[in-house]
Amino acid sequence: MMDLLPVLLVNGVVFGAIYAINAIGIGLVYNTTGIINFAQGEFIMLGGMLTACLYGQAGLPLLVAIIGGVALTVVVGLLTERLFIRPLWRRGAKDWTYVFMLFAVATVLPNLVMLGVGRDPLTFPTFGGLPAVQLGSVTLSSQALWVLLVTVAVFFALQGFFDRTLLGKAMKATAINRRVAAWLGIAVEQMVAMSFGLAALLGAIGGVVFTPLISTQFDAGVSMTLNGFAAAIIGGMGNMRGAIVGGLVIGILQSISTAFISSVYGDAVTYAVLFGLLVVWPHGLFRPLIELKNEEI
Amino acid sequence: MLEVRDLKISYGQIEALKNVSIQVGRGEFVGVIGANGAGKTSLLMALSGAVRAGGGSVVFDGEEVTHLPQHLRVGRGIAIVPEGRQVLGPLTVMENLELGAYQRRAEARAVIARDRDMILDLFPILRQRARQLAATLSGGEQQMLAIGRALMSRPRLLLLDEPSFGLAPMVFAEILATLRRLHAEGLACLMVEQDAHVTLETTSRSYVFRTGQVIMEGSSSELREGGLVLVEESYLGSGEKSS
Repeated sequence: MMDLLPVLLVNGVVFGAIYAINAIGIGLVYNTTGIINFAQGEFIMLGGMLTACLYGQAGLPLLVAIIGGVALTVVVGLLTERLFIRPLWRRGAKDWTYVFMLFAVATVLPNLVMLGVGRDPLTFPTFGGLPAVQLGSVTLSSQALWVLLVTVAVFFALQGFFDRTLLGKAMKATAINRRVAAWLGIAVEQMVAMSFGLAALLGAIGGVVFTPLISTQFDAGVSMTLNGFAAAIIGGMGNMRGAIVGGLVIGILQSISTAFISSVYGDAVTYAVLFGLLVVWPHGLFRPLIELKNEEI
Repeated sequence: MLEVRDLKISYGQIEALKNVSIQVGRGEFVGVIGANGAGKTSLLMALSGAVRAGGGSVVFDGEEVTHLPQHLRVGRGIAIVPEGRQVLGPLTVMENLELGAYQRRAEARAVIARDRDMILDLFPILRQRARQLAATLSGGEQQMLAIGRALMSRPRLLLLDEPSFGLAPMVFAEILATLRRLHAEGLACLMVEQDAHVTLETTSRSYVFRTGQVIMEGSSSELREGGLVLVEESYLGSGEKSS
């Protein structure tokens, strides 16, 4: 059994990467709005499904299909904000109303995909271009390497965006204190829209690199949302470094518990360990960027 | 320059401002004094666009801005130094200043950098703290940063909400001196303060607020000499003398 461990660890890290991307997306929306986007996993599903459709059914070259799939998913993300969040926002709805709206989106989107595309899992070819890497007794496939490299690239790109660009800093300011951001002349609604767009972009990128590994289907989003949410909480909501660590913790836990304990109870074991972690560190492993303030007058 | 007419604001059932009319002339330093809950802060909320006016009009430089979206007001030249300073604690001093110029993002960086250097000359202590997180500054330094951040937008009217809040008198005196200097250079200021004495000494004209209304207005020196008894009464909230 123990010689399996390296394989399981590598596998856990690859799955952890996708949870991390998801956790970052959830954190982005949380930071600007204070709400949890329960539709985040749907962006992963959509990125994979749309690319698969554009490639398989429309017969586009893979690169074009990927760009198209990602772009369409971003459009869905922006529409989600425009149609379901902004109208409520302008009328000062309570947080749980948004959460419910996003649940509704997470329910309706998979159904639309099922109606339009069907129930079958879809996939598309691996990207190639990168070698498989031998890590001791374990082989990291070329596509798995893509997943890890893209996750690292996403992390540093976002880090650069928030630390070096005025727009990124304006988003951070919005996250720290919406009211002050507005006083500085930052259009808070635009920042919220942008956080949804970015979250959808991250999800779509994750879906695109991950789908060739395990395929995707209309209902793949829910578990992605849950695992991403868990990763965000373990890491510290809205903290990017925390999201990476949280994603890895969950990916590795799942991989090991599924293999060593039971494939049926793998999730239960994972969550039991998470409960334990949260009892010890109720705020997650890293500090959230922001403790949102009560913005009443 | 600023012309407020019959401005009304209510939070649900509570009327915070009832038909308030005030003016600020070009380059004037105007004070608003009154007790807690007199509606002073509500006035600045409405002028900065943080709360919606329930009636009346605000005209700035000939343009009606009553319902102008909040983020556009900064670009028009109205900047606020909010109560309690409200610096962005997790960001550095430099980043706070940089964001103050957010509405000027189309301008050349060199121009904005020059303004930033001018502000750092105005508050040399901020230059020493440039790379520090704003949360690590003292109260007085945060107030300087809040003023500097507002100045980064190149305002023509500076709204100041309780600038003395939580500051030692010596520190506040220093900040007031800087504000006077800015005013002398032509910046119009509207300062809301609980400390009537300081306000009347600093400003040229003042309004006295009580329960959402202007109950007195006039030149600050007159109010200081003649009307201070009345001003003090307004703080007691009764306004009736038992004589």
